Amino acid sequence: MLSVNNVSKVYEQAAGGTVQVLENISLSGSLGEFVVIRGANGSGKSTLLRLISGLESPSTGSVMVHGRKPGQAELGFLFQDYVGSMLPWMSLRENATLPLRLKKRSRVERHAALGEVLQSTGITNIPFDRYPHQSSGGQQQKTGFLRAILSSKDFLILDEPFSSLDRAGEDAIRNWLQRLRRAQKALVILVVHDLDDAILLADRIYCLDGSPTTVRDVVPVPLPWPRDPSVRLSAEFLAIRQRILSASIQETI
Amino acid sequence: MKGRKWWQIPLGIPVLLLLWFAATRDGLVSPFVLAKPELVWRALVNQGTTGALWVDIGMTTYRALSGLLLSAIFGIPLGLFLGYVSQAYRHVALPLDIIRSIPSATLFPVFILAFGVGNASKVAVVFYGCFFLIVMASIYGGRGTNDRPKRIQMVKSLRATQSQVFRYVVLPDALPNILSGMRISASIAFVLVVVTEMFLGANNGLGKRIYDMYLSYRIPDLYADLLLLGLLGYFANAAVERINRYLNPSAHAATSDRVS
Repeated sequence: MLSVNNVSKVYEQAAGGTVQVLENISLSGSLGEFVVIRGANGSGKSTLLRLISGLESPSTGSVMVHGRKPGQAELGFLFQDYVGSMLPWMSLRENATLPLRLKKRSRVERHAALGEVLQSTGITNIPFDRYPHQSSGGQQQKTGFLRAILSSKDFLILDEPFSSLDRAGEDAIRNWLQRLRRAQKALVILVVHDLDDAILLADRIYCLDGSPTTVRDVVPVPLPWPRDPSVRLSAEFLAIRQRILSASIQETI
Repeated sequence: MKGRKWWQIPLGIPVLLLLWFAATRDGLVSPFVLAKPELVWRALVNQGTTGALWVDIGMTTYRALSGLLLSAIFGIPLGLFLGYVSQAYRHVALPLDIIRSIPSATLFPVFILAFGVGNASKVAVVFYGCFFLIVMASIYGGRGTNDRPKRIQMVKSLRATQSQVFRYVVLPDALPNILSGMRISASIAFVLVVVTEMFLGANNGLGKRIYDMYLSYRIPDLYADLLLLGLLGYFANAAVERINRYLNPSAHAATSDRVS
C-alpha cells in the first residue's frame, strides 16, 4: 500500500546553495504491517515522514500510497513536536476531534467518536476542557495521538509517540498498538528511539544513517504477535538487537 | 468583591475625588480652570434630563462606530492578504508607510472638500485614522507566529482544504494582532470623532457640546461632558474587551492552574 522508490530530497538554502538530506531511499509497507524507522537525530527521519505523508514532495524518486500520490490518502500523523502542532485556541477536546470537524461531523458524532477511541485505547487523564497551555506535555501528546487515530484507522505515522508519556499512557498506547497489529488492518510507520521498543513494535526496521541519509540496513523482525516484553530475553530478539547495533556501529566508522 | 480585604479596595477614584474637592476649595484653583465637583455633578444631572445630551452621545457613538466598522471591514481582509502574501506586501510597503504617516486630522480640509461638512467627512476622518492601524495590525497577524507552519502542516496532514487551513489556523493565529489593532482603533475613533465635531461644523455630538460649553464659559458643564467622554471611552474599551474574550477564549483562560 505504501511504496517509496529511490527517493532523494534536496533543499535550497536561504543563503544560496543546496543541501541534500535523503539519498536513494526505498521503503515499503503493506496493510497490517508495522514499520519502524531508526536513525540518529537530524538523520532526516522527519523529512522522510513528511514525504510519506505527502506534506512535501521528493526531489527525485516517487512516493505512492494505494498507487496514488500520498497527498490524498487519509492519514493519522502524530508529530514529534506535538506541542507545536496543537491549536492553542482550541480545547484539548476540540484538538482531538479536529479531524471529524474538518469532515463536517456534528458535535454529537465527534464526542461519540472520541468516547469510543478513549474506551478502546484505555487512555485516561486528559483534561479535555482545558487549552493546551493549561495542560502538560504528556496530556498534549496523548491528545495528538487521539487526533491521529480519529483521522485514520488504517494509515498511521507516529513520530516518537512515547517521548513524554507516563507509564500508564505508554502502556495504554503500546497495548492498543499490539491489538491493532493483530487485527492486521493498518499500516503503521513509527519512529522509536528506544531499541527494545523499536524491536517489540516492528515487523521491519529501516536503519538510516549518513549524510546525506541512506538506508543502511533493513532488519526483519519475525517474532510472533502479540509480543510480551519477556521476549526480549530470547535468543532471536538478541540476534536482531545485535544486527541493528552493528549497523549503527558501521555507521560511526 | 468577595473576600476582599479593606486595603485591597482600589483607591484611585476616592483619592482623585478627594484631590478634586481639595483643589477647588477656597479658590485654590480658579473656577474657570477647574469646576467644583458638586457643580459638575449638578450640571451632569441637568444635562441628563434634557434629551439633547442623549442625541449627542448617540451621534458621537454612531460616527465613531461607523468609521471603525468600515475600516475593519476593508482593513482586516486587506491586511491579512498583505501579511500572508509577502510578495504583495513588497509592492505596497512604501506607499502604505507614506500614506499612513499623514495625520488623519490634517486631512480635514480634503475630506470637507470631498464629502462636505455633514456626517460623511467626519466618518471619513475616523476611517482614515483607524483603517491604516487595522491594516498594519492585520498584516502582522497575517504574517503568522513562529508556530504557524507546524500548525498548517498538522491540519494539512488531516487533509484540510485551503479554506479550512485559513479558517482553523491562519485566521485564529492572526486574531490576537487584529484584536489589539481594533482596540487601539476604538480609542482613536472616539478621539477623532470628538475633534471633528469640535472643529468641522457639527450640529450635534459630544465634541460640539464641549466646544459650545467652552465658548459660553459654562465650565461645570464643560467638565460634565468631559467626564461623560471618559465614561464613554471606558465602556467602549470594556465592550472591545468583551468581544476579545468571546472571540479568543483561550488567551483568557486561567493560566494560574497550569498543570505540568
